Amino acid sequence: MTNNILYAVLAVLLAAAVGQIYLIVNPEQLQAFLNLPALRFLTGELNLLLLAPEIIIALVLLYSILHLAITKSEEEREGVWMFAGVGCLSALLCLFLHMGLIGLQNPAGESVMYGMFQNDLFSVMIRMFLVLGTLLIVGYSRLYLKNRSELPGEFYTVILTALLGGMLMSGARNLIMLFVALETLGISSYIMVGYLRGNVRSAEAGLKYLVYGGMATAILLFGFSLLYGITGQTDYSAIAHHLALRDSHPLIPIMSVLILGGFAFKLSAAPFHMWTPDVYEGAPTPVTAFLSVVSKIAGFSVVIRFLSTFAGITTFSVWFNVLVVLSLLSMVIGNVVALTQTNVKRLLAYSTIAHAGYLLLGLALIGNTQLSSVHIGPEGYTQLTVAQAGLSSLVYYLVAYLFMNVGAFAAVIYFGNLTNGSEDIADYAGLVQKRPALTLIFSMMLLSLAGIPITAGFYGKFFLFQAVANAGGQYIWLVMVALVTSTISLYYYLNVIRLMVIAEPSSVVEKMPSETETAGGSIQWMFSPTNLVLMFCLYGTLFMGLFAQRFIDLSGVSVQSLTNNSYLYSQSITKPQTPNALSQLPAHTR
Amino acid sequence: MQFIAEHYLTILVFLPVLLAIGLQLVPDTDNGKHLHTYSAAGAVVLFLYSILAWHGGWKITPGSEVVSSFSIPSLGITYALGSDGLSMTLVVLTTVLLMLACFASMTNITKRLRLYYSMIFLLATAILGVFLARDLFLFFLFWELELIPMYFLIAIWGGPRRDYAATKFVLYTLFGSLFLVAAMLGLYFNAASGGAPTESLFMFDTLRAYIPNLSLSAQVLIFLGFFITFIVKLPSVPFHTWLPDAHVEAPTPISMLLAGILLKMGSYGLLVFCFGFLPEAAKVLAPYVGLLAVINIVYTAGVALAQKDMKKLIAYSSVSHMGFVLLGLAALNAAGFNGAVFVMFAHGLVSAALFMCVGTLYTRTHSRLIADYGGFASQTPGIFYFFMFMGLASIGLPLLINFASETLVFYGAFISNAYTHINLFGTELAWSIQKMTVVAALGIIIGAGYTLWLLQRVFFGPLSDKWNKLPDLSPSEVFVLTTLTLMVMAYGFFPSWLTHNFESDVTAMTRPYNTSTLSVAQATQHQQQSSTPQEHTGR
Repeated sequence: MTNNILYAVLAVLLAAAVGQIYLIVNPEQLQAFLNLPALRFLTGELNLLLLAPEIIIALVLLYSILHLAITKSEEEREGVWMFAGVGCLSALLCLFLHMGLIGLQNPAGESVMYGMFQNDLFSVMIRMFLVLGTLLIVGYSRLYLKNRSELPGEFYTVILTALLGGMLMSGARNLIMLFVALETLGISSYIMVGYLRGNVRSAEAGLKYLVYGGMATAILLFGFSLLYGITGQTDYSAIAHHLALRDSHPLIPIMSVLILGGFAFKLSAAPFHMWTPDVYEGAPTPVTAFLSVVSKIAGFSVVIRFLSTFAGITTFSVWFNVLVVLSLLSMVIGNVVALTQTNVKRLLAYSTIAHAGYLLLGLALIGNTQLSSVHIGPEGYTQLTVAQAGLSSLVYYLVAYLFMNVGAFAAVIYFGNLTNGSEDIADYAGLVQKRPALTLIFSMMLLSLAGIPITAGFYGKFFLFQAVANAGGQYIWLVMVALVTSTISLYYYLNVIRLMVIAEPSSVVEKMPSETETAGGSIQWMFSPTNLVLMFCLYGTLFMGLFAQRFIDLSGVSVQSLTNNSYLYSQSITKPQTPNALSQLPAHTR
Repeated sequence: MQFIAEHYLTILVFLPVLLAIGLQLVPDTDNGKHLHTYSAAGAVVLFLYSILAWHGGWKITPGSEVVSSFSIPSLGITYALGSDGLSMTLVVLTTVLLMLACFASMTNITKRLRLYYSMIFLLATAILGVFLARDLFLFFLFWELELIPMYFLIAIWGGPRRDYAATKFVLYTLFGSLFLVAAMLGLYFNAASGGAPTESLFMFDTLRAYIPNLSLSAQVLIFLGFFITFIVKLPSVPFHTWLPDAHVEAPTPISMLLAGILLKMGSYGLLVFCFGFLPEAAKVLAPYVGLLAVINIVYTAGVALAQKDMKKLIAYSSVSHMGFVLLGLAALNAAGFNGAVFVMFAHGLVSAALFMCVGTLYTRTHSRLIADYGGFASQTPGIFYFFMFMGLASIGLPLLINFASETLVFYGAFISNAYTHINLFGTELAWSIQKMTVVAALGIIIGAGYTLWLLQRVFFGPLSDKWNKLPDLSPSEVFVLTTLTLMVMAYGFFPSWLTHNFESDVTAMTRPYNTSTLSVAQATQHQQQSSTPQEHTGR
């Protein structure tokens, strides 16, 4: 029965996608279609048409819940993973079409839901990465949950909810919208971390994450409330406009600290990183991957949009120095503490912290509007500003990070399944003799994380460091610290590879069935979801390295769309000298 | 066909990777016989292709082979490969030695063959890439790529202290690469003042065009960055200590590749980057390069004399021979540069053959200590003949390849007027390059000493009882050694067969040195003399 329902859903989704292609390709018919009175909500101020990917995800989510409510059979309940996969695929297709057909022509995009959400090229791209990341993680979740959880089906509804929150975060340009989306992602994450109810470590991690996360959210919300109190606005550009026109306010430093602290928690930047290793270690591995990839990308998209809106307003200039400090601390703490780790998930957790540090480097340049020496664009090179160069390398690095981290966690899950859930680094010794292909892919992911040439990770670091070095002499020392810490990181990444290739097999690897015994070579095995994910990540990492220019051009265009929307770029900011200008502000904020 | 003609260098560089992928499909049965055969055949194909690419239907084009999809203009990186006589000479040396190393592996390597040959092919791609890259960044990528397979080759298939040797090798090379990165950053940040186009900042043609516009102090600093990188790889005193360890621990075929090709990466870099791109800095620093060369030649020859381990002895003799490359470069003239390239090639053949000889002994006795040997001339006459021949070639016996190359270097150094004084710690010393060359010639005598003494201790004297009934050379070993012997003899008899390949390209590099250090009349005279080095070497 499940299969029939599944095919029906698939057919509907595909029909919707095809219909959408058809309408987008024929603008007149699209116009006529949208002019139907019953469909007014799709355009105009509400503009829900542009939220089609989110709507698809939401529908699949509702359907999955219904399905779980009415089916009893264990096998059919587990089949929900296919709904999740198909939903993600459809949303991805939708976003891809949007980027190709509309996004590149109109990068600045349109606002949705009365200005709550900005559907610009940047948000379209970030949503693509989020959906892609979730799709890849869904691809291997089943393998992990199968024998570990008594509720393997419900997991996908939670992960889809989290994805929905992340997608809405990426375009939010209103504090209320942002907070709702943030909490949707946050609460679903707490559930997912503690998903293995029988497992003490998972439950502990879930509780820990809930307490820390709740605290951070409260702090962030307090910051938002102060911001609202100061400006009387919740819309980003209205806040920016207001702040630019008025003198400093005594509450602004407190507000800044609260908001930045809340964000730093979400990005797991040091010194707000304490929760990361424990939660990452205890959480089910697919959830760890989700937290370190999807949550991270969503968090960065929020911070990028938030900060780029306020870039250039003098009140906020101190923020960027704070970001530099956060970045430095994360790079140093993440990389140095990772050296002593013996658990592979904790190792990847500290590497996540270190990578947050690298990524923050790109953010720290956001207030700088000087022209850099970086040019982008397929034809007719456009010169970027320093801030844009930093952000575009950040976006590139986020994608690279998606592939290499999802791939690394996929390899960890694969290994865990072969060895009764082993997570000890020492157990990886001699893996190449039993599983050469897995070793190759895991090694490529680690090399990419370490930033070894021709992988995506290398060019990501190169673009980032170049953007920072180009920003001026005062940043050179920052690049030096980044280079030194990434040299340190070489040790712990390469050590795993060294163990897998050179050392004699560990007892765990010795017991592993050899490749030919586990139905190796059969087509079904080759195209199992986990293998597909592994290969996809490998190709992604390599292609992003080989064709780096294409990808950096694309992220450059998306970032331009974002910064062109921001307050700084849309109008020159002059502080009012006359009381006249101040009187234009709403009365209650004066 | 059109595609091949347009991308023949890319195919050459990545052919080994394709071979490695194909290797994964070969069944590992029959004690790895199929893997051995496939790899040897693959290496032969690679060799034939390189010959074809050099002499065949695709002429060496002066431009570069640029693939724009792989280029990153916003970082100034271009995917550009190019070939000239110098590169192709070294490419053919690489493919020949790779082929011979694969044949040598048949008897020397028994475990984990699939990984072994994959690493060998990956190494080949890296080395070919280094020699053919026409973009500094691409060069750097291949330069670093070489580390990965080499580390595994030493660390998995090496001797008892393999971990130590492999780690030392990687750390030394990475230390050197740090300076390469520094030099690249120096170029990057000075590019604007030199008026370089930002899209192809690191292309060799661009570098050649804008480096002369930089200030002399910048040039000297960049020269030093490159110089330290490449003398670590060369290797030269004081960064040479990784080489004996790596050689001693590496299996025989890897020692052959290490001595034969990897050291040439360092000397190639010195010639092309330091002396090719930065002539002004080279003129300033030539005295110190010459002094380093002399220290290298004499000091390491002395160290070789004191060795108890055969492989270590040959490793130190390698370092000593690479000193001749430095001396030839310090001469700053056509004869010296051509001599340096000739020494690179000659040493590639001879040292590889010597390591092969030691390897054949080692597989039979499992000892490298000279004291364990004696009287082997009667026991294994085949090894004796080849070892003796190669030892004599290494000393520089006339009509063999080392004689021709070293003579050319000495000739270049004697007629050179690169410098007459050297400033050491503030004192002006009247040590001209001629005086230094005289001291360097001592190295030849010490070289004869340690080589002949080695041969005497291994092959003559009483034979120990425990070495009775050792088998002589196997067919694959005979093939490897015969090929090398024939090449050593052919290029020793007719050096111009080799020199005419690279001579015009290498001589072109000396153009900046001729105009300013000599008067015009002298310059033309020397140009005529030195542009036909085969007349001097042909005798």
